[in-house]
Amino acid sequence: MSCQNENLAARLDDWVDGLLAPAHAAAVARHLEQCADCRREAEALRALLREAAALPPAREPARDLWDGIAARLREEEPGEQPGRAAPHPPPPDGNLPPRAARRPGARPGWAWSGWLAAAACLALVLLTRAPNGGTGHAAPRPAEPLLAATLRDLESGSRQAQAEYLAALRGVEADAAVPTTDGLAIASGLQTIDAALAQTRAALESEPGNPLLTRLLASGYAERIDLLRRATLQTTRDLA
Amino acid sequence: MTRTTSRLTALIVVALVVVTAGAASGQDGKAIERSLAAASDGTVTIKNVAGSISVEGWSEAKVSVTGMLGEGTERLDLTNEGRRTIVEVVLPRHARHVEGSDLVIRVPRGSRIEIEAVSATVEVGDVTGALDLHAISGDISARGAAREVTAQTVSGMIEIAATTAKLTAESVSGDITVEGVRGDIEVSTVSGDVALKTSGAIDRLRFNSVSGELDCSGALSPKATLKAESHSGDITLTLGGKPEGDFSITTFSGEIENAFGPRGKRTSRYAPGRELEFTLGDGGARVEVTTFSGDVFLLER
Repeated sequence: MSCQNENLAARLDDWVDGLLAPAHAAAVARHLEQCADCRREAEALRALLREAAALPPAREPARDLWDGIAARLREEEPGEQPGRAAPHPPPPDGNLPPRAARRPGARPGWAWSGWLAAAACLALVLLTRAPNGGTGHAAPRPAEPLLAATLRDLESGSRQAQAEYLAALRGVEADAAVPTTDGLAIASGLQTIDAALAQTRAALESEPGNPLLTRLLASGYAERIDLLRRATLQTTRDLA
Repeated sequence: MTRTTSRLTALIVVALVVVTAGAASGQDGKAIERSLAAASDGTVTIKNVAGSISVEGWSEAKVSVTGMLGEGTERLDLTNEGRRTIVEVVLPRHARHVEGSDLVIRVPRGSRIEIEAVSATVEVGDVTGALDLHAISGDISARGAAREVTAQTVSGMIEIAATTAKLTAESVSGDITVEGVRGDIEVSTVSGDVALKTSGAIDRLRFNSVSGELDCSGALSPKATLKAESHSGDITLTLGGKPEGDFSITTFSGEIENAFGPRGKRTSRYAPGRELEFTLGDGGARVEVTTFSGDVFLLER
Protein backbone atom coordinates (compact mmCIF):
# COMPACT_ATOMS: atom_id res chain seq x y z
CA MET A 1 0.00 0.00 0.00
CA SER A 2 1.50 3.34 -0.96
CA CYS A 3 -0.53 5.60 1.29
CA GLN A 4 1.63 8.32 2.78
CA ASN A 5 -0.50 8.74 5.86
CA GLU A 6 0.71 5.79 7.88
CA ASN A 7 -1.17 6.90 10.97
CA LEU A 8 -4.55 6.77 9.29
CA ALA A 9 -3.70 3.68 7.25
CA ALA A 10 -2.88 1.86 10.50
CA ARG A 11 -6.39 2.57 11.78
CA LEU A 12 -8.20 0.90 8.91
CA ASP A 13 -8.68 -2.36 10.82
CA ASP A 14 -10.39 -0.63 13.71
CA TRP A 15 -12.41 1.58 11.36
CA VAL A 16 -13.78 -1.44 9.51
CA ASP A 17 -14.62 -3.06 12.88
CA GLY A 18 -16.40 0.09 14.03
CA LEU A 19 -14.10 0.44 17.02
CA LEU A 20 -12.85 3.99 16.50
CA ALA A 21 -14.10 6.99 18.46
CA PRO A 22 -16.36 9.20 16.33
CA ALA A 23 -13.72 11.88 15.73
CA HIS A 24 -11.14 9.34 14.57
CA ALA A 25 -13.70 7.46 12.47
CA ALA A 26 -14.63 10.70 10.73
CA ALA A 27 -10.94 11.43 10.03
CA VAL A 28 -10.50 7.99 8.46
CA ALA A 29 -13.68 8.41 6.41
CA ARG A 30 -12.43 11.76 5.07
CA HIS A 31 -9.07 10.15 4.20
CA LEU A 32 -10.79 7.32 2.33
CA GLU A 33 -12.56 9.86 0.12
CA GLN A 34 -9.14 10.91 -1.17
CA CYS A 35 -6.98 7.77 -0.94
CA ALA A 36 -7.70 5.01 -3.44
CA ASP A 37 -5.13 2.70 -1.83
CA CYS A 38 -6.82 2.85 1.52
CA ARG A 39 -10.25 2.47 -0.08
CA ARG A 40 -9.07 -0.77 -1.74
CA GLU A 41 -7.56 -1.96 1.55
CA ALA A 42 -10.76 -1.22 3.48
CA GLU A 43 -12.84 -3.07 0.90
CA ALA A 44 -10.46 -6.03 1.06
CA LEU A 45 -10.84 -6.07 4.86
CA ARG A 46 -14.62 -6.00 4.60
CA ALA A 47 -14.57 -8.85 2.06
CA LEU A 48 -12.32 -10.86 4.36
CA LEU A 49 -14.65 -10.39 7.29
CA ARG A 50 -17.61 -11.46 5.16
CA GLU A 51 -15.77 -14.64 4.16
CA ALA A 52 -14.69 -15.33 7.73
CA ALA A 53 -18.22 -14.92 9.03
CA ALA A 54 -19.41 -17.49 6.52
CA LEU A 55 -16.92 -20.09 7.71
CA PRO A 56 -18.10 -23.04 9.87
CA PRO A 57 -17.39 -22.72 13.65
CA ALA A 58 -14.35 -24.99 13.57
CA ARG A 59 -12.23 -26.39 10.83
CA GLU A 60 -9.67 -29.04 11.65
CA PRO A 61 -6.48 -29.15 9.63
CA ALA A 62 -5.61 -32.29 7.70
CA ARG A 63 -3.85 -34.87 9.86
CA ASP A 64 -0.68 -34.75 7.78
CA LEU A 65 -0.36 -30.98 8.29
CA TRP A 66 1.41 -31.51 11.62
CA ASP A 67 4.10 -33.76 10.11
CA GLY A 68 5.29 -30.91 7.90
CA ILE A 69 5.26 -28.43 10.77
CA ALA A 70 7.13 -30.83 13.07
CA ALA A 71 9.77 -31.40 10.40
CA ARG A 72 10.30 -27.66 9.98
CA LEU A 73 10.58 -27.19 13.77
CA ARG A 74 13.25 -29.86 13.99
CA GLU A 75 15.24 -28.25 11.18
CA GLU A 76 15.24 -24.77 12.69
CA GLU A 77 18.39 -23.55 14.38
CA PRO A 78 18.30 -21.88 17.84
CA GLY A 79 17.75 -18.16 17.57
CA GLU A 80 15.16 -18.47 14.85
CA GLN A 81 11.50 -18.19 15.64
CA PRO A 82 9.75 -21.52 15.21
CA GLY A 83 6.09 -21.81 14.56
CA ARG A 84 5.82 -18.78 12.28
CA ALA A 85 3.80 -19.62 9.18
CA ALA A 86 5.18 -18.94 5.72
CA PRO A 87 4.15 -15.52 4.42
CA HIS A 88 1.26 -15.30 2.02
CA PRO A 89 2.26 -14.91 -1.65
CA PRO A 90 1.19 -11.51 -3.01
CA PRO A 91 -2.05 -11.57 -4.97
CA PRO A 92 -1.69 -11.01 -8.76
CA ASP A 93 -2.97 -7.41 -8.68
CA GLY A 94 -0.06 -6.31 -6.46
CA ASN A 95 -2.18 -5.25 -3.48
CA LEU A 96 -1.10 -6.13 0.00
CA PRO A 97 -1.83 -9.76 0.93
CA PRO A 98 -4.87 -10.23 3.11
CA ARG A 99 -4.30 -10.06 6.82
CA ALA A 100 -4.73 -13.21 8.85
CA ALA A 101 -8.38 -14.16 8.87
CA ARG A 102 -10.26 -13.35 11.99
CA ARG A 103 -12.38 -16.37 12.88
CA PRO A 104 -14.27 -15.58 16.03
CA GLY A 105 -15.99 -18.90 15.97
CA ALA A 106 -12.87 -21.00 15.43
CA ARG A 107 -12.07 -23.56 18.13
CA PRO A 108 -8.76 -25.27 17.37
CA GLY A 109 -8.50 -28.91 18.42
CA TRP A 110 -6.73 -28.63 21.75
CA ALA A 111 -4.95 -31.93 21.39
CA TRP A 112 -2.15 -30.50 19.20
CA SER A 113 -2.69 -26.88 18.20
CA GLY A 114 -2.71 -25.72 21.82
CA TRP A 115 0.62 -27.47 22.33
CA LEU A 116 2.04 -25.95 19.15
CA ALA A 117 0.99 -22.45 20.17
CA ALA A 118 2.41 -22.96 23.64
CA ALA A 119 5.68 -24.37 22.35
CA ALA A 120 6.07 -21.55 19.82
CA CYS A 121 5.26 -18.97 22.45
CA LEU A 122 7.73 -20.46 24.91
CA ALA A 123 10.40 -20.83 22.27
CA LEU A 124 9.98 -17.17 21.33
CA VAL A 125 10.34 -16.18 24.97
CA LEU A 126 13.35 -18.36 25.68
CA LEU A 127 15.28 -18.20 22.44
CA THR A 128 15.03 -14.47 21.91
CA ARG A 129 15.86 -13.58 25.49
CA ALA A 130 19.41 -14.32 26.61
CA PRO A 131 19.75 -15.88 30.08
CA ASN A 132 21.32 -12.68 31.32
CA GLY A 133 18.23 -10.76 30.24
CA GLY A 134 19.93 -9.47 27.13
CA THR A 135 20.60 -6.14 28.80
CA GLY A 136 24.20 -6.11 27.58
CA HIS A 137 25.31 -4.94 31.00
CA ALA A 138 28.25 -6.39 32.88
CA ALA A 139 27.51 -9.06 35.45
CA PRO A 140 26.71 -7.52 38.85
CA ARG A 141 29.29 -7.76 41.61
CA PRO A 142 27.82 -9.58 44.60
CA ALA A 143 28.74 -8.87 48.16
CA GLU A 144 30.98 -11.88 48.83
CA PRO A 145 33.04 -14.35 46.80
CA LEU A 146 30.89 -17.23 48.06
CA LEU A 147 27.76 -15.47 46.86
CA ALA A 148 29.47 -14.77 43.54
CA ALA A 149 30.16 -18.48 43.09
CA THR A 150 26.58 -19.31 44.07
CA LEU A 151 25.20 -16.84 41.56
CA ARG A 152 27.40 -18.25 38.79
CA ASP A 153 26.16 -21.74 39.64
CA LEU A 154 22.57 -20.55 39.59
CA GLU A 155 22.98 -18.76 36.27
CA SER A 156 24.57 -21.86 34.79
CA GLY A 157 21.84 -24.05 36.30
CA SER A 158 19.20 -21.77 34.83
CA ARG A 159 20.70 -22.07 31.32
CA GLN A 160 20.96 -25.84 31.72
CA ALA A 161 17.35 -26.17 32.90
CA GLN A 162 16.21 -24.01 29.97
CA ALA A 163 18.08 -26.19 27.47
CA GLU A 164 16.58 -29.33 29.00
CA TYR A 165 13.06 -27.93 28.78
CA LEU A 166 13.48 -26.91 25.15
CA ALA A 167 14.85 -30.36 24.37
CA ALA A 168 11.84 -31.90 26.12
CA LEU A 169 9.46 -29.73 24.08
CA ARG A 170 11.14 -30.75 20.83
CA GLY A 171 11.08 -34.37 21.88
CA VAL A 172 7.34 -34.52 22.54
CA GLU A 173 5.69 -36.83 20.05
CA ALA A 174 4.10 -34.92 17.21
CA ASP A 175 0.84 -36.76 17.61
CA ALA A 176 0.78 -36.96 21.37
CA ALA A 177 -2.86 -36.89 22.37
CA VAL A 178 -2.31 -35.30 25.73
CA PRO A 179 -0.56 -32.03 26.45
CA THR A 180 0.95 -32.76 29.84
CA THR A 181 1.82 -29.21 30.73
CA ASP A 182 0.32 -25.76 30.27
CA GLY A 183 2.94 -24.25 27.95
CA LEU A 184 1.39 -20.82 27.82
CA ALA A 185 1.21 -20.55 31.61
CA ILE A 186 4.81 -21.74 31.87
CA ALA A 187 5.93 -19.17 29.30
CA SER A 188 4.02 -16.46 31.14
CA GLY A 189 5.57 -17.52 34.46
CA LEU A 190 9.04 -17.42 32.94
CA GLN A 191 8.39 -13.96 31.55
CA THR A 192 7.36 -12.77 35.02
CA ILE A 193 10.49 -14.25 36.59
CA ASP A 194 12.76 -12.87 33.85
CA ALA A 195 11.28 -9.41 34.25
CA ALA A 196 11.96 -9.58 37.99
CA LEU A 197 15.54 -10.76 37.37
CA ALA A 198 16.10 -7.90 34.93
CA GLN A 199 14.84 -5.39 37.49
CA THR A 200 17.06 -6.84 40.20
CA ARG A 201 20.13 -6.88 37.94
CA ALA A 202 19.50 -3.28 36.94
CA ALA A 203 19.24 -2.27 40.60
CA LEU A 204 22.48 -4.14 41.39
CA GLU A 205 24.26 -2.10 38.75
CA SER A 206 23.45 1.07 40.65
CA GLU A 207 24.13 -0.59 44.01
CA PRO A 208 26.83 -3.19 43.43
CA GLY A 209 27.27 -5.60 46.29
CA ASN A 210 23.89 -4.84 47.86
CA PRO A 211 23.25 -8.03 49.89
CA LEU A 212 19.46 -7.76 49.65
CA LEU A 213 19.56 -7.50 45.88
CA THR A 214 22.08 -10.32 45.61
CA ARG A 215 19.84 -12.53 47.72
CA LEU A 216 16.79 -11.64 45.62
CA LEU A 217 18.75 -12.36 42.44
CA ALA A 218 19.72 -15.78 43.74
CA SER A 219 16.11 -16.51 44.72
CA GLY A 220 14.93 -15.45 41.28
CA TYR A 221 17.31 -17.83 39.54
CA ALA A 222 16.32 -20.63 41.90
CA GLU A 223 12.65 -20.03 41.06
CA ARG A 224 13.46 -20.08 37.35
CA ILE A 225 15.30 -23.38 37.65
CA ASP A 226 12.51 -24.90 39.73
CA LEU A 227 9.84 -23.84 37.24
CA LEU A 228 11.79 -25.13 34.24
CA ARG A 229 12.49 -28.46 35.91
CA ARG A 230 8.84 -28.93 36.86
CA ALA A 231 7.82 -28.07 33.31
CA THR A 232 10.37 -30.53 31.89
CA LEU A 233 9.08 -33.26 34.16
CA GLN A 234 5.51 -32.58 33.17
CA THR A 235 6.33 -32.42 29.47
CA THR A 236 8.09 -35.76 29.45
CA ARG A 237 5.47 -37.50 31.56
CA ASP A 238 3.42 -39.98 29.58
CA LEU A 239 -0.21 -39.77 30.58
CA ALA A 240 -1.66 -41.28 27.41
CA MET B 1 -50.94 -25.95 4.09
CA THR B 2 -51.39 -22.66 5.91
CA ARG B 3 -48.38 -20.56 6.95
CA THR B 4 -49.06 -21.33 10.64
CA THR B 5 -49.20 -25.07 9.97
CA SER B 6 -46.01 -25.03 7.91
CA ARG B 7 -44.22 -23.03 10.66
CA LEU B 8 -45.46 -25.49 13.29
CA THR B 9 -44.27 -28.39 11.17
CA ALA B 10 -40.87 -26.79 10.82
CA LEU B 11 -40.66 -26.27 14.58
CA ILE B 12 -41.56 -29.89 15.25
CA VAL B 13 -38.92 -31.05 12.79
CA VAL B 14 -36.30 -28.86 14.47
CA ALA B 15 -37.32 -30.09 17.93
CA LEU B 16 -37.05 -33.70 16.79
CA VAL B 17 -33.57 -33.06 15.40
CA VAL B 18 -32.45 -31.41 18.65
CA VAL B 19 -33.84 -34.21 20.82
CA THR B 20 -32.26 -36.87 18.63
CA ALA B 21 -28.89 -35.10 18.68
CA GLY B 22 -29.10 -34.73 22.44
CA ALA B 23 -29.90 -38.40 22.91
CA ALA B 24 -27.09 -39.37 20.57
CA SER B 25 -24.52 -37.26 22.44
CA GLY B 26 -25.76 -38.71 25.73
CA GLN B 27 -24.97 -42.16 24.40
CA ASP B 28 -21.34 -41.15 23.61
CA GLY B 29 -20.20 -41.26 27.29
CA LYS B 30 -20.00 -44.58 29.10
CA ALA B 31 -21.29 -45.01 32.65
CA ILE B 32 -18.96 -46.89 35.00
CA GLU B 33 -19.50 -48.65 38.31
CA ARG B 34 -16.66 -50.79 39.60
CA SER B 35 -15.03 -51.65 42.90
CA LEU B 36 -11.99 -53.52 44.21
CA ALA B 37 -10.86 -54.59 47.67
CA ALA B 38 -8.09 -52.37 49.05
CA ALA B 39 -5.91 -52.06 52.14
CA SER B 40 -7.40 -49.73 54.77
CA ASP B 41 -4.17 -47.73 54.90
CA GLY B 42 -2.75 -48.41 51.46
CA THR B 43 -2.11 -46.04 48.58
CA VAL B 44 -4.66 -45.12 45.91
CA THR B 45 -3.16 -43.70 42.71
CA ILE B 46 -5.58 -41.92 40.37
CA LYS B 47 -4.81 -40.70 36.84
CA ASN B 48 -7.33 -38.77 34.77
CA VAL B 49 -6.37 -36.19 32.17
CA ALA B 50 -9.58 -34.21 31.80
CA GLY B 51 -12.96 -34.00 33.44
CA SER B 52 -13.17 -34.30 37.18
CA ILE B 53 -11.89 -36.44 40.04
CA SER B 54 -13.85 -36.44 43.29
CA VAL B 55 -12.42 -38.58 46.12
CA GLU B 56 -14.20 -39.22 49.39
CA GLY B 57 -13.04 -41.39 52.29
CA TRP B 58 -15.28 -44.09 53.76
CA SER B 59 -15.08 -46.88 56.29
CA GLU B 60 -15.11 -49.78 53.84
CA ALA B 61 -11.96 -51.70 52.81
CA LYS B 62 -12.45 -51.22 49.13
CA VAL B 63 -12.12 -48.64 46.36
CA SER B 64 -15.31 -47.87 44.48
CA VAL B 65 -15.36 -45.96 41.19
CA THR B 66 -18.50 -44.57 39.62
CA GLY B 67 -19.03 -41.91 37.02
CA MET B 68 -18.90 -41.39 33.30
CA LEU B 69 -16.07 -42.05 30.86
CA GLY B 70 -15.80 -39.34 28.22
CA GLU B 71 -16.00 -39.90 24.50
CA GLY B 72 -12.63 -40.89 23.11
CA THR B 73 -11.38 -42.72 26.18
CA GLU B 74 -10.27 -46.29 25.72
CA ARG B 75 -11.15 -47.75 29.13
CA LEU B 76 -10.91 -47.40 32.90
CA ASP B 77 -8.28 -49.54 34.63
CA LEU B 78 -8.87 -50.50 38.26
CA THR B 79 -6.06 -52.74 39.54
CA ASN B 80 -4.09 -53.64 42.66
CA GLU B 81 -0.30 -53.76 42.89
CA GLY B 82 0.43 -54.95 46.41
CA ARG B 83 -0.89 -52.28 48.77
CA ARG B 84 -1.39 -49.80 45.90
CA THR B 85 -4.72 -49.52 44.09
CA ILE B 86 -4.54 -47.83 40.68
CA VAL B 87 -7.46 -46.03 39.04
CA GLU B 88 -6.53 -44.86 35.56
CA VAL B 89 -8.51 -43.45 32.65
CA VAL B 90 -6.67 -44.86 29.63
CA LEU B 91 -6.67 -42.85 26.41
CA PRO B 92 -5.94 -44.14 22.91
CA ARG B 93 -2.34 -43.36 21.99
CA HIS B 94 -3.11 -41.19 18.99
CA ALA B 95 -6.45 -39.70 19.91
CA ARG B 96 -6.94 -36.20 18.58
CA HIS B 97 -9.87 -35.21 20.75
CA VAL B 98 -10.60 -36.42 24.22
CA GLU B 99 -13.66 -35.62 26.28
CA GLY B 100 -13.22 -35.48 30.00
CA SER B 101 -14.19 -38.33 32.28
CA ASP B 102 -15.96 -37.59 35.56
CA LEU B 103 -14.96 -39.98 38.35
CA VAL B 104 -16.41 -40.29 41.84
CA ILE B 105 -14.09 -42.48 43.91
CA ARG B 106 -14.67 -43.77 47.44
CA VAL B 107 -11.50 -44.89 49.21
CA PRO B 108 -10.63 -46.31 52.64
CA ARG B 109 -10.38 -43.30 54.91
CA GLY B 110 -6.78 -44.01 56.00
CA SER B 111 -5.47 -44.20 52.42
CA ARG B 112 -2.64 -42.18 50.98
CA ILE B 113 -3.98 -40.51 47.83
CA GLU B 114 -1.87 -39.71 44.77
CA ILE B 115 -3.58 -37.88 41.92
CA GLU B 116 -2.26 -36.84 38.52
CA ALA B 117 -4.48 -34.70 36.35
CA VAL B 118 -4.01 -32.23 33.54
CA SER B 119 -7.19 -30.20 33.19
CA ALA B 120 -9.37 -32.36 35.40
CA THR B 121 -10.59 -30.71 38.59
CA VAL B 122 -9.52 -32.50 41.74
CA GLU B 123 -11.50 -32.66 44.99
CA VAL B 124 -10.55 -34.73 48.00
CA GLY B 125 -12.43 -34.95 51.27
CA ASP B 126 -12.55 -36.95 54.49
CA VAL B 127 -9.25 -38.80 54.02
CA THR B 128 -6.77 -39.02 56.89
CA GLY B 129 -3.74 -40.29 54.98
CA ALA B 130 -1.34 -38.09 53.04
CA LEU B 131 -2.50 -36.31 49.89
CA ASP B 132 -0.19 -35.82 46.91
CA LEU B 133 -2.20 -33.89 44.31
CA HIS B 134 -0.91 -32.72 40.94
CA ALA B 135 -2.77 -30.92 38.16
CA ILE B 136 -1.73 -28.63 35.37
CA SER B 137 -4.69 -26.38 34.68
CA GLY B 138 -7.24 -28.18 36.80
CA ASP B 139 -8.25 -26.72 40.16
CA ILE B 140 -7.36 -28.64 43.32
CA SER B 141 -9.36 -28.59 46.53
CA ALA B 142 -8.86 -30.63 49.68
CA ARG B 143 -10.74 -30.66 52.97
CA GLY B 144 -10.78 -32.79 56.07
CA ALA B 145 -7.99 -34.00 58.33
CA ALA B 146 -5.30 -35.29 56.02
CA ARG B 147 -2.00 -36.03 57.71
CA GLU B 148 -0.05 -34.11 55.09
CA VAL B 149 -1.01 -32.29 51.88
CA THR B 150 1.09 -31.59 48.79
CA ALA B 151 -0.75 -29.71 46.04
CA GLN B 152 0.88 -28.58 42.83
CA THR B 153 -0.61 -26.87 39.77
CA VAL B 154 0.52 -24.61 36.98
CA SER B 155 -2.50 -22.46 36.27
CA GLY B 156 -5.21 -24.10 38.34
CA MET B 157 -6.36 -22.79 41.72
CA ILE B 158 -5.56 -24.51 44.99
CA GLU B 159 -8.02 -24.44 47.91
CA ILE B 160 -7.09 -26.23 51.10
CA ALA B 161 -9.51 -26.29 54.02
CA ALA B 162 -7.92 -29.04 56.06
CA THR B 163 -6.56 -29.35 59.58
CA THR B 164 -3.36 -30.79 58.25
CA ALA B 165 -0.09 -30.30 60.07
CA LYS B 166 2.08 -30.09 56.97
CA LEU B 167 1.23 -28.37 53.71
CA THR B 168 3.22 -27.76 50.55
CA ALA B 169 1.37 -25.81 47.87
CA GLU B 170 2.89 -24.65 44.60
CA SER B 171 1.45 -22.88 41.60
CA VAL B 172 2.70 -20.77 38.73
CA SER B 173 -0.25 -18.50 38.13
CA GLY B 174 -3.06 -20.10 40.08
CA ASP B 175 -4.26 -18.52 43.32
CA ILE B 176 -3.83 -20.44 46.55
CA THR B 177 -6.29 -20.30 49.47
CA VAL B 178 -5.48 -22.06 52.71
CA GLU B 179 -7.64 -22.31 55.82
CA GLY B 180 -7.25 -24.29 58.97
CA VAL B 181 -3.72 -25.52 58.37
CA ARG B 182 -1.31 -25.36 61.28
CA GLY B 183 2.30 -26.36 61.82
CA ASP B 184 4.54 -26.53 58.79
CA ILE B 185 3.48 -24.54 55.71
CA GLU B 186 5.36 -23.98 52.48
CA VAL B 187 3.70 -21.97 49.72
CA SER B 188 5.29 -20.94 46.46
CA THR B 189 3.90 -19.14 43.42
CA VAL B 190 5.09 -16.99 40.56
CA SER B 191 2.12 -14.72 39.99
CA GLY B 192 -0.76 -16.28 41.89
CA ASP B 193 -2.07 -14.63 45.05
CA VAL B 194 -2.03 -16.47 48.36
CA ALA B 195 -4.59 -16.09 51.15
CA LEU B 196 -3.62 -18.03 54.26
CA LYS B 197 -5.60 -18.29 57.49
CA THR B 198 -4.24 -20.70 60.05
CA SER B 199 -6.30 -22.37 62.77
CA GLY B 200 -3.59 -23.06 65.33
CA ALA B 201 -0.17 -21.53 65.71
CA ILE B 202 2.29 -21.44 62.84
CA ASP B 203 5.49 -23.37 63.53
CA ARG B 204 7.13 -22.82 60.17
CA LEU B 205 5.99 -20.79 57.17
CA ARG B 206 7.89 -20.32 53.94
CA PHE B 207 6.34 -18.09 51.30
CA ASN B 208 7.96 -17.36 47.99
CA SER B 209 6.52 -15.33 45.15
CA VAL B 210 7.58 -13.17 42.26
CA SER B 211 4.55 -10.97 41.71
CA GLY B 212 1.87 -12.75 43.69
CA GLU B 213 0.62 -11.26 46.96
CA LEU B 214 0.49 -12.92 50.37
CA ASP B 215 -2.24 -12.22 52.88
CA CYS B 216 -1.48 -14.30 55.99
CA SER B 217 -3.50 -14.29 59.19
CA GLY B 218 -2.62 -16.37 62.24
CA ALA B 219 -0.65 -16.74 65.41
CA LEU B 220 3.03 -17.56 65.90
CA SER B 221 4.17 -20.46 68.06
CA PRO B 222 6.93 -19.51 70.57
CA LYS B 223 9.73 -20.85 68.33
CA ALA B 224 8.10 -20.19 64.96
CA THR B 225 10.12 -19.29 61.88
CA LEU B 226 8.33 -17.29 59.25
CA LYS B 227 10.16 -16.40 56.04
CA ALA B 228 8.35 -14.51 53.29
CA GLU B 229 9.99 -13.29 50.12
CA SER B 230 8.51 -11.60 47.11
CA HIS B 231 9.74 -9.48 44.24
CA SER B 232 6.81 -7.15 43.63
CA GLY B 233 3.93 -8.80 45.43
CA ASP B 234 2.72 -7.13 48.64
CA ILE B 235 3.03 -9.10 51.85
CA THR B 236 0.45 -8.65 54.63
CA LEU B 237 0.91 -10.41 57.98
CA THR B 238 -1.97 -10.12 60.45
CA LEU B 239 -0.76 -11.58 63.73
CA GLY B 240 -2.95 -12.41 66.70
CA GLY B 241 -2.43 -13.86 70.15
CA LYS B 242 0.08 -11.26 71.41
CA PRO B 243 2.96 -12.28 69.14
CA GLU B 244 6.43 -12.46 70.60
CA GLY B 245 9.35 -12.59 68.22
CA ASP B 246 12.23 -10.97 66.43
CA PHE B 247 11.21 -9.20 63.24
CA SER B 248 13.43 -8.31 60.29
CA ILE B 249 11.77 -6.57 57.34
CA THR B 250 13.75 -5.40 54.32
CA THR B 251 12.56 -3.94 51.03
CA PHE B 252 14.53 -2.39 48.18
CA SER B 253 11.85 0.06 47.10
CA GLY B 254 8.61 -0.93 48.82
CA GLU B 255 6.92 0.61 51.84
CA ILE B 256 6.71 -0.83 55.33
CA GLU B 257 3.68 -0.29 57.57
CA ASN B 258 3.87 -1.67 61.08
CA ALA B 259 0.93 -1.70 63.51
CA PHE B 260 3.17 -2.88 66.35
CA GLY B 261 5.00 0.41 66.73
CA PRO B 262 8.49 0.79 65.27
CA ARG B 263 8.67 2.36 61.83
CA GLY B 264 10.86 1.34 58.92
CA LYS B 265 13.86 3.52 58.20
CA ARG B 266 15.60 4.34 54.96
CA THR B 267 18.68 2.24 54.30
CA SER B 268 20.35 5.10 52.48
CA ARG B 269 19.80 8.78 51.93
CA TYR B 270 20.02 8.26 48.19
CA ALA B 271 18.24 4.94 47.73
CA PRO B 272 14.58 4.09 48.23
CA GLY B 273 15.19 0.98 50.37
CA ARG B 274 13.72 0.55 53.83
CA GLU B 275 14.43 -1.82 56.67
CA LEU B 276 12.87 -2.51 60.03
CA GLU B 277 14.20 -4.64 62.87
CA PHE B 278 12.43 -4.91 66.22
CA THR B 279 11.49 -7.37 68.92
CA LEU B 280 8.06 -7.97 70.41
CA GLY B 281 7.83 -9.36 73.92
CA ASP B 282 10.74 -11.68 74.83
CA GLY B 283 11.41 -12.65 71.22
CA GLY B 284 11.57 -16.37 70.43
CA ALA B 285 9.82 -16.56 67.08
CA ARG B 286 11.70 -15.28 64.02
CA VAL B 287 9.96 -13.35 61.23
CA GLU B 288 11.88 -12.34 58.11
CA VAL B 289 10.24 -10.54 55.21
CA THR B 290 12.08 -9.48 52.07
CA THR B 291 10.78 -7.76 48.96
CA PHE B 292 12.18 -5.92 46.00
CA SER B 293 9.30 -3.52 45.46
CA GLY B 294 6.38 -5.15 47.21
CA ASP B 295 4.95 -3.32 50.23
CA VAL B 296 4.96 -4.99 53.64
CA PHE B 297 2.11 -4.62 56.12
CA LEU B 298 2.35 -5.92 59.70
CA LEU B 299 -1.12 -5.80 61.24
CA GLU B 300 -2.53 -6.77 64.61
CA ARG B 301 -5.59 -9.00 64.81
